[in-house]
Amino acid sequence: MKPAVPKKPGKIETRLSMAVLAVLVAIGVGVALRQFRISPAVLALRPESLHEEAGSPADRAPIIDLKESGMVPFSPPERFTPDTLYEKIDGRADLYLAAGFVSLATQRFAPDHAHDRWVEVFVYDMGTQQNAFSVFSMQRRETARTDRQLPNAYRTENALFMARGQYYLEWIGTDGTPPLQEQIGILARRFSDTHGGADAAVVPGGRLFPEAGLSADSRQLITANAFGYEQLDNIHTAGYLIHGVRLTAFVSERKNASAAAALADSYRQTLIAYGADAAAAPPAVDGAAMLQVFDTMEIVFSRGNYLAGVHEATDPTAATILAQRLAEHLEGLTGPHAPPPQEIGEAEENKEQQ
Amino acid sequence: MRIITTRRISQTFFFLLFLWFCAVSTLGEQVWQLRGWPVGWLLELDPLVGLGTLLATGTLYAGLLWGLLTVVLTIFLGRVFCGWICPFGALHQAVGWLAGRKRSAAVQIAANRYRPAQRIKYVILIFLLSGAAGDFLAWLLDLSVESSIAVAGIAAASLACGIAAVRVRKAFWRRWTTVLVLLIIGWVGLGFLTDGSRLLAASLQTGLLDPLPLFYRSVNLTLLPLLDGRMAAFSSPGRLYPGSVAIGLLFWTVVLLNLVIPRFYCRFICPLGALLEILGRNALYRMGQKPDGCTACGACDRHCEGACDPSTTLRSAECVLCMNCLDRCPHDVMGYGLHPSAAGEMAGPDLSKREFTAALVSGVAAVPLLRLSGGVDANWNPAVIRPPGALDEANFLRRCIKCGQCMRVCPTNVIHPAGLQAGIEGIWTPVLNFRVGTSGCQRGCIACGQLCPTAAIRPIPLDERLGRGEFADRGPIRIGTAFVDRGRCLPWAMDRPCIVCQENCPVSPKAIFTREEFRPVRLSGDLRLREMVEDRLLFDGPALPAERFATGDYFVTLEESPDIAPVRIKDIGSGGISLAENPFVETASPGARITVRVKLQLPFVDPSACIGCGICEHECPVKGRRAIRVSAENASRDRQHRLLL
Repeated sequence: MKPAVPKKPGKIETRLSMAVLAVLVAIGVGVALRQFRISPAVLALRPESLHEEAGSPADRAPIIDLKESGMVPFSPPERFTPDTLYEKIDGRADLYLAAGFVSLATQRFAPDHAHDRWVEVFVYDMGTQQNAFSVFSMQRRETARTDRQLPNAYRTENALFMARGQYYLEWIGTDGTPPLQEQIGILARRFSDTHGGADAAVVPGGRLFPEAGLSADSRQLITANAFGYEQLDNIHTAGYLIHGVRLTAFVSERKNASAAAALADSYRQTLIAYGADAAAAPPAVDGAAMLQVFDTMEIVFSRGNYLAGVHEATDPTAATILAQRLAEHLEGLTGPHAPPPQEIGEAEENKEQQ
Repeated sequence: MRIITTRRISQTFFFLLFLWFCAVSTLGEQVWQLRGWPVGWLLELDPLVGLGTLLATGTLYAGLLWGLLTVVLTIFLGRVFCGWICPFGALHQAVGWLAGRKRSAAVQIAANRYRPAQRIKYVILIFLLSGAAGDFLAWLLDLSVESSIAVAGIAAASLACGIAAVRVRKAFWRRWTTVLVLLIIGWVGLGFLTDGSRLLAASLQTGLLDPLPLFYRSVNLTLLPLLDGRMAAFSSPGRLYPGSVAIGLLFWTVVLLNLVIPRFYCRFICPLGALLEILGRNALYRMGQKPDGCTACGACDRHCEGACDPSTTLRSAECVLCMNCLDRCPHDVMGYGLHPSAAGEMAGPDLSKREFTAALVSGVAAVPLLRLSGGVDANWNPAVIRPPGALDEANFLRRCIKCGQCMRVCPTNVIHPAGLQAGIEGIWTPVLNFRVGTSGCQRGCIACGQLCPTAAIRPIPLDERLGRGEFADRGPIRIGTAFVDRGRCLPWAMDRPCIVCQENCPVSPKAIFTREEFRPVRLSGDLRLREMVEDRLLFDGPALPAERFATGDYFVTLEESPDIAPVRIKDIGSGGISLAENPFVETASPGARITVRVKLQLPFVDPSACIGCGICEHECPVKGRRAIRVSAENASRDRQHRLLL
């Protein structure tokens, strides 16, 4: 019988071990080298693979500037005209067409080397800044939250929406993961910088409303058929919170004072024709008409070139306070020290385009 | 360096490599994504994958030649794959060691003794391989009937054997000649019996229990989806795999069985282990005792991973080369070399003829029995939508090893393990489910075919997928066709405007088109015209909420003006209905009945343009059972599915 021996690896055992470890290292190196031969599955997602053969280089160029964004095209660009818009967004096409739609360019972009998520960008050329802001404001999502780094823009869980100059943009991500949303922000800021910067982000008609009680991000521009009345076009609205009551103020700049007064009267008459009851006019607002439409109040008046009022108010006291503030504010705009009106021409031009 | 330290390093290396391959199986070019990693390499090293597909199809997919390396290693060195490479084996060994490390020596020895039930893995292997060999057997039997050369050969051989049987005097040769004659008669008889019948068919089911596909499947479909999150995203978070509970249960069951018996799966179930045992039963190098010196202390039995009784008559086929016996033997009795064990060896497998025959026959018989359902023939299930590039169903089932690689790499998470919708043989094979995931099957994606280790899903080029370049005359690959369920579709069934499917259809020109129709809206009472003021209709009747009827989708017609097309409602207020225009001025009179009509765009599918990508189904707002659903009709992969005449 052999005695127990101390367990110490012999030379052969050690050499064998070294040989095995060398093989493992070789396998590791081989596997590491193999990953440089990019799989066809990955190559297929590269933009050059996805681009259709047809089309000029200009047609194939990305619709937005991707420089240093960490994003690459994930689909060829697509372009739509008023005649073909329905192919992309049939259900909502009318809204854009009615607002002066000129063209749409869309394309998907994916983070560089990560093609399991992407963002689809919609660039609507609406012809004018007013039209772009109109479709932007009229479609504001319920879950919208303001983007702190981009004026005139808001975010939802997986998307960013913005208006810049004549463009209205939607950036729809596959998900709401922070890296993707951060890259969307980078692209959006670059677009903003290269398309007029802060000037293009100004909300049209921003000076028309008094600040006191104004709800953030509540501004809207209704280009046509506001409140169901066809003559009410280019109506700016804003939300207010006064004494805990939510209210909507509206202002529209017209060609001249008489046009504004005539429209105010026409709107008042129409409401009465529809069954509204004239209520006691608010004494604080000279020349205003107050009407009761079912269980809401409508205040209509004009100040200089401006038609204005409070729409569907549930509380007459709060509505009167808002109407008074609005009237005073508009008087300031039409007085001797009023800033030059910048949007009169725009509004008319906008109307003609439609 | 001790050899068991090296073995542990090797096991750890391959285990981590396996996990890495699973983790990086997501589309992308980053180092931690698919890039060019050979994520299927360990599957290709598995000789059971290669042998199974070879038997089932008569061909060997290129990558599976790696399996030959394992075969050669096993023939020369024994079951080195099981003890040093297999990541699933490493997991079992680790769990078994954790479970038993504090048990007494006697308990450990008892747990590691050989058990006759270890024969079960051979039964499983034979059953699975014979199930895959049906077509190969049919080909062999057909030779006796359909090949004139073979028939001539059979006749000559029969004649020769007959003459030999008469002339040969020795009993041994006479017996074998008789056996040969009987074999020839049996071959020809079976050839005629099976000719034109459905008695033989092939289906590859090794992947159900083959350790590497099983481990890949379990990690890909049950572990990684649970770990995915924003902090550690192995893929886009929120991936779902319906039916993965069964996969997880199998995985955890076999892992936790190590708490009872170490390497339970390897010893009792593993068909790959059984195959390697057969290949390595007479390996050139093997473990064994040196002459003299064994004190029967039991140290080797206590730590043996293969339950191969190293202290007595060593069951060489069961040895997984863990080298524990060599390392633990206090008397340096155990060795690894060219000489057989001094205490005796038993090569195995110790399967009786009856057990072998039962496994073989039941395996061969099972597949035709399953095929009687018609699942690969006339009774194919339209709900079974396979990934783009998948072979026709019969060939697909001859190749798919259910590894889950295609499901893991799918960027939109629409490929899922099948339940029973593809029949028992289709369980855990990939099917598309468009309700789950982030979108449908992306037109520009060919990932599933590129990762499939057996070409059950062909590695198609992008041009073929999109039907362009040299494939332009064939058109794009179709995986199915969308059908509108008019009983559930909002515009068809409920008079609600909706064209989500048409909007989202990605092909150009769109495969989904709409036809306009005006339908009267159901109201709680009649609307009667009271008065007309310019373009406003004042009416008597139930209230019409503006938020519903002033959306631009609603129109009116008047009973007295049947020839006037419906006119769009612009607004509804206290004053009545405002119209976009009023063509009724001349014809309408008070009391006329007003009909509110909804403009519907009813969706239709053009089957010649639909590729079955399922984006319409995914986006359909009817979220339960979708109102537009893709089924396997018109799928390119199978002529039986052809829809267009």
